[in-house]
Formats: sequence, C-alpha cells, structure tokens
Amino acid sequence: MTCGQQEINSMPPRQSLSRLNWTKHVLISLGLLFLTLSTRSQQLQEYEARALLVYNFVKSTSWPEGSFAERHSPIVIGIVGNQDLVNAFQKFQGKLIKGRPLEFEKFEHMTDFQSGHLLYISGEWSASSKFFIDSLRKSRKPILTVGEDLNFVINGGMISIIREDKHLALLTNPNEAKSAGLFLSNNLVKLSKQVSTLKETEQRY
Amino acid sequence: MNQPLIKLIFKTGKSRTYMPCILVFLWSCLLQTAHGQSAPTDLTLLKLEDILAMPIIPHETGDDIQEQAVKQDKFRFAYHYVHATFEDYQSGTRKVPLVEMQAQFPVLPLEIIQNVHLISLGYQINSRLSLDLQLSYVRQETYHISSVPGFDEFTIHSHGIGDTSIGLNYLAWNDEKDSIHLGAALSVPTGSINEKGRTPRDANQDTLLPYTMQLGSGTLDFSPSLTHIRRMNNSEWVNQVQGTFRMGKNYHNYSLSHRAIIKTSLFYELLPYLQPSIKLMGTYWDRVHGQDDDLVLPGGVYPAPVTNPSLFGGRKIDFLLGIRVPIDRGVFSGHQFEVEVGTPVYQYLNGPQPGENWRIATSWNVQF
Repeated sequence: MTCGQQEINSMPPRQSLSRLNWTKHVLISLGLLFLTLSTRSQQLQEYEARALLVYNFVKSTSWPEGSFAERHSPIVIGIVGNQDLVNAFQKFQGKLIKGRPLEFEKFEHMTDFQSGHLLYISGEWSASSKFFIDSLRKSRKPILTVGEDLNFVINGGMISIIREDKHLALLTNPNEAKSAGLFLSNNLVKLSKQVSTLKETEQRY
Repeated sequence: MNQPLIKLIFKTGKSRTYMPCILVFLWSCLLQTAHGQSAPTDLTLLKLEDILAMPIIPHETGDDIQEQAVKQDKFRFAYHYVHATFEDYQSGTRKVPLVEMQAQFPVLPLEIIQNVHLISLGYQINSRLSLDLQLSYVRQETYHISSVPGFDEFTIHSHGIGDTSIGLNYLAWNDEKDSIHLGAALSVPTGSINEKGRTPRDANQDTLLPYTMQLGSGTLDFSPSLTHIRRMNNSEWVNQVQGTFRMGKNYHNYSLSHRAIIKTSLFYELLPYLQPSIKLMGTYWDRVHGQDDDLVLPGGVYPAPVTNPSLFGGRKIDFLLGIRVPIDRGVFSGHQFEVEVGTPVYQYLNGPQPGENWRIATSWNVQF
C-alpha cells in the first residue's frame, strides 16, 4: 500500500465529511450573527453618553473672539456633579477640538466656578441654580451652560440633556446662547427641542 | 493576496463552503447599518444623532434613587409641638357675651390651653410604603369662673400620655411634578378618659373632668388621608384631605366628634434652606355622640357648656403662616425644622362653645 492510498483509506466517507462541515458552518454563522447583533444592541452608560454629548456640544459651538487667550489655549469645562460623572468626562481630558485641548475641572458648588468655556450642572433645578444662572446671564460671559432638566433651559440655561425613556434627548435655548455671544450649530439645534426663557412675569404665581 | 477577498474565496473553490457564513455576516452587517447604532471603538467618532439614538443604561433611575433613599434613610423621627388656646364663647358665628353665658351655666371655662407633644417614628418598608407610629403627650389646663361659693375662680389641669396612632402611608403616584399619597391610620385609646380634678361639683373629692380635659378619645379611631403634592418651579403645593372616624363608643358611653380636615399649603423656596409657607385649613367636626352621665347633674342639668355633648362641633377655616428650614449640609444635614402660626379666619360653632383663638405648631424631623 502506498502512502497515498493509506491517506485515502483513512479519510472518512464523503457523507460524514459533508455533515461535519455543515455543523461547523452553522456554528460559525451563529457565532458571527451573535457577534454582530450584540454589537448592534450596544448601550452607553448614561454618564458616558452625557460626556460624549458635551464633547459634541463643544465641537458644535463657536465661541466669540477673545474667549481664548492663545491659539492653542485649552477649552475649560467646569462640572458640578458627582465623581462618577466627572470620571466619565475626564476620559476626554486632553482630546483636541479645533486644535485646543479639553480641560475638565470639578466644582463642589456651582458658585465656585469662576471662569471657563462650558459649565455642566448636574442634578435638579433649584433656587440656588436660578440665582447662579441669573448672575451668569447678567455677566454675559460666553459660557455654554448645560443642565439636566427642563427648568434649566426655561430659566436661562442654554442646553439640557434630559432622559426620555431609555434615551437621552436635548433641549436648547439658542437665544440664550446667542445673547452670550455663542453660536450653536444648526445640526445641534435641529436635533433638539427648542425652548425659550420664561419671562419673569410668567414665573410668578 | 492583493485581490479582493470575495474574489479570492471564489477562486480558491471554497466559496460554497463559506458562503452561508458570508451571507449571514453580510446580512447582520446590513442590519447594523440600517439601525445606525454601531459604536465605533473611538466613541468620540459618534455623531450627536448616534448618541441620541443609542439606548442608555441609566446611572440611577427614579426608582433606584427612591430605593437608594430607602436604603439610606430607612427611619424617620419627628417631634411636633402644638399649642392652642380657646376662649370667647360663640354660637354659630355670633360672639356670645359672658353675661349671657353666666345666666345659663353656673360654671364657665374662660380659657382652655392645650399643649400636645407628638413623637413620630417612621419606617420606610419599601420605596412606596412606610409605617408610622405616633405617640403623644398631652398637657392641658382650663381657667374657670363660677357662681359656686369657694370656686369663684379655679383652674383644672390634666396631663399624660395621649392616644397612640399607627398608620401606613402609600405612595400611589409619583412623577417629576406630582405625587399622591394614601394614608390609613388607626388610633389606639392609650390616653386616659378618667382624668379627675377638684371642681365645684364636689369640693371634697376629685370628680371626673369634662370631655375637653380628657387625654384620649377612649375609642378606636380610623383616620384615612389623601395627599397630593405638586412640585413647581421653586415651590411646592400640598393638598390634603383627612378624616377621623370614631369606631363605636368608649366605656363612658360616648364618642368624640368625627372630624374632616381639608388643607392646602404653598411652600416657596426663597432659599434652599428657607421656605416660607401659607396654609388654609378647613375643619368640620360634629357633636359628641352619647353622653358621660357622670358629667351631668341630677335632673339632667349641665353644669358647664363643655359638659353638654351637643355643644360641640362646627366648621372653621384657619389661616396659617409658616417657615420650613430643610438643612442639607453640616452636622444637621437631613434635619428639617418647621414653625407655623395661625388663627381661624372663619368659625361657625354649634355653641355656645369657646372658639379657637390661635395656635402655633413647631416640628423637627430627621431621617436616618
């Protein structure tokens, strides 16, 4: 018996080979299907999503001339929120947007925020938020203010990231941004529900 | 190797064997593209619309926060103090002159002072249900004048443990604006209805004091309540309807008035730690049912108006002003103080009976 004949004789019958291959293919196919479907249903952690949105807001906002000391001065983002939220933001520390690195600072209280380009205020709207936002509005500093509820934007905040069922949604107050010298991109405004600031008289009851 | 992959596969003759895998892969990629929800490895490449379209894993859902609050603050302790004074006789809305009263009754209470200390212990069973136990200590005194020799002026006192209430509170509805609470409490007659004192009825020994001077109702009392809270911008509007129904009569053969209260309060958050409030409270209560015969003189004569069961009940509206001070930092974080002062702006009394003059209520509560 030649070596080649030995090889032929030791091969399994053709029918068995075919069945084995199909089983293998079905398993590979199911594996690929699972892999792709699991990628498809990927979710974002809420804080991660909020940080990503803010990252995009920075890309979608134009600050007026003179807002930055130098051509490559950092974009300073203040965060009033818990440490988990701050950690989510800090993953973007040093990332460049339009040639400027992002810099994040955590503040215990919003009143500790003195200067910067964007302020993210986590949590529900309160009287102290109102006083602070009012004072920012009066100062007309080009600071993009981002909050987390409807009251934030109707009381003079510029953007709110709110929860809608299992997704995040945006509320913007482009007029407030404009009066602070900021320009929000059309895409950002288009993807959000637009809200106007309530007049003082409407806030009384 | 620089030929396209598909072409290579077909050329190597393995197209038939790998075709199912390729088709499944292409199909699932197509699905993925159609939904536009794939996350690139570098998340910063995600566009705004992609992020908004992706489902999120909430950091803390509303229920989680509530559950967490329950885990963190399982217990609640509250202390309330209420001081109220009653004087000046009134029948319907008419003030009854003292002379007219003296002509009808030999003994006249001129001023009734009630001080109630309430200690409330709450246990949060879950995010919606809480159990409350309320203990009370009552101290009251009444200043009298009378036409009985030796008792021209006299004061009687009573003090001790009042009735004890145990109740359940259920959060029936809660969203970002409104919440609705249903409550049901059962008051157990731990307060004495045998309080005695020296009165003109018997100068030599203490005799039973009138209904107003007893420390408890002597009956099992059922108190349902419905509370609605509307949270608005910088303010909170609280509405409550509450009833107290006496179940049966006590062993002195009477039951105190059934009572219904409806109140509406508005709290304004002037500062996070300073919330003034205004409150309107309407109360309806009926007469004493039955009669304690030990309070009646021979011949069915009532020596004082407060011994006549039919001279109880009426309706009134109180106007109250208050201040609530919630503290969220420092050693007193989680504590809340409140003080409220009010007076009836309308009283219609089944009289003649002494009308309420004013009241002050203070409270301190803490969760832990």
